[in-house]
Amino acid sequence: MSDLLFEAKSLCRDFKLNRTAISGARPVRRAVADLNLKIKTGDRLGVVGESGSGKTTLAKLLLNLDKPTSGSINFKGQQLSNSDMSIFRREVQIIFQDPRSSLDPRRTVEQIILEPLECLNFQQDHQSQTNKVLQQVELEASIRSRYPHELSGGQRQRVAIARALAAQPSVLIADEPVSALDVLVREEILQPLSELIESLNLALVLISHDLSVITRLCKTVVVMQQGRIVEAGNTQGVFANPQHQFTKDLISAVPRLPTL
Amino acid sequence: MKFLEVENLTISFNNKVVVNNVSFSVSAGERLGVIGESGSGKTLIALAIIGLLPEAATVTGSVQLAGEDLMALNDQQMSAYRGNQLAMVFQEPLTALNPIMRVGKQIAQPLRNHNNFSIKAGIARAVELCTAVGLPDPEHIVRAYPHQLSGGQRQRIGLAIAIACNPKLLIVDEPTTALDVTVQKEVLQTINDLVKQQGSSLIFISHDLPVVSTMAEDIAVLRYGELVEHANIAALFNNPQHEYSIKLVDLARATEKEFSNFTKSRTL
Repeated sequence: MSDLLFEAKSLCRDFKLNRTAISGARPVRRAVADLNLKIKTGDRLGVVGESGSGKTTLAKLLLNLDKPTSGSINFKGQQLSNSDMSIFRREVQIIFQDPRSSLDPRRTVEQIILEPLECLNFQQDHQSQTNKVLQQVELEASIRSRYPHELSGGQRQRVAIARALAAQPSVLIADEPVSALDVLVREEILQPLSELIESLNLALVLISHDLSVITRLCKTVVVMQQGRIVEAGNTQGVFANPQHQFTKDLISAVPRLPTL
Repeated sequence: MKFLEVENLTISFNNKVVVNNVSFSVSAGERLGVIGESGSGKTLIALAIIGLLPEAATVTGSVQLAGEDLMALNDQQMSAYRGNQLAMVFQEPLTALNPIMRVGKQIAQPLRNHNNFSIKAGIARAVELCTAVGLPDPEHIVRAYPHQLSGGQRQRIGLAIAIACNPKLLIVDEPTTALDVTVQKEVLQTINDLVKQQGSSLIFISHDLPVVSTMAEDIAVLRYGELVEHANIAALFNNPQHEYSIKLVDLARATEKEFSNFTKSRTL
């Protein structure tokens, strides 16, 4: 089963910059330029590129947190709009980069995970669903009554994943989910995340500038530079045989171990 | 007598020990990597060496630079060393730079303090330093404010400030965590070249083993404020002793292997 979830057609997003002269027109920065993308059920898409290449803007557009200047995004055949977004909000969830700022410090883990269930009118029992997602991210049930500041960085990010999974989404969008974490802690996140995506048959859009994270989790990859997709394809194929100079530079910039 | 000797350094806050009895030394021209996870005390050790620990910290032990006990110096005497004999590049360039001062003036500051440069001579030297750290169009860059520069450019400014007085010891604290891989590679290369050129010692702090191993000859591994292993790179990779070092090395090897599999046709 591979239903079409997202379809983006000639997507553009322009940002107006500050006026450089009193009478001049405001210059425009095209953050996402003429981008076409399809995401199906079970797809695991990596998005790589430098800062400023439009990765996060793309994520915001996919989440309908930002509007394209031109072009369109369809989700399950329907164009994203302001009207009834409740189904969309349940189906598409995000994991942010830094759990210290994405988790409310004044709420317990339980409240954090219950919130999407409550505001999305989740039908099944909220308590058992909370337990289930905590189990899925390998956190003990006793963590429910604790606050984010009492948790380690890895635990916090797992709470963020649990919150994203709570409403049983079909798409996870992860914006640099491990770059704020220590290397060993990254493993604690990547391993369960990889298994969960597989077992729940989720579609994943993973934004990262760390190519080794992309190779771990993603089957396909798009390389972005200045808002454009300069290379796309199967992860193995793109990394083994990069065509675009920018992709080659990215791969050669990955720090390698010394040969001893 | 080594160039820098840190002996039994213990740092605590409100009786909570965060760096416990750490001793190590760095010879002239040596490049030491310090690796550990967040909260392991890496940055505190660096701040203790350069004398910038917060006032709430209680410090015992000794830090000697070329035979001079830095812990015994008062603020004023320490200022004569800081930025001159020893200098530091901080992790986040946006917070380390003064947002309302042109970067050229910031680079000239240590020269004016330590070497009695006039403002004009300082700015002229700042232009040269910008070239040295690989910034394009240095005449314009020195007139810019930090917010007008990219992350990589800002980090190079931080580096230019640190090397302005040719320090004998350069401490670099996670200089590339805020940067892209492509920019990271260039910045690391620049640091490497400069340190070799000036013959300075380097303390390179990071949580990323592959990065550290491109920058240092020896590696000190910190865990919960204790120095658990100190070995040269070959020894650490071939025969890691501490459980935490073993994990780090195994993970770095596994990641490397997996990544190599993906890029096979290129590397072979």
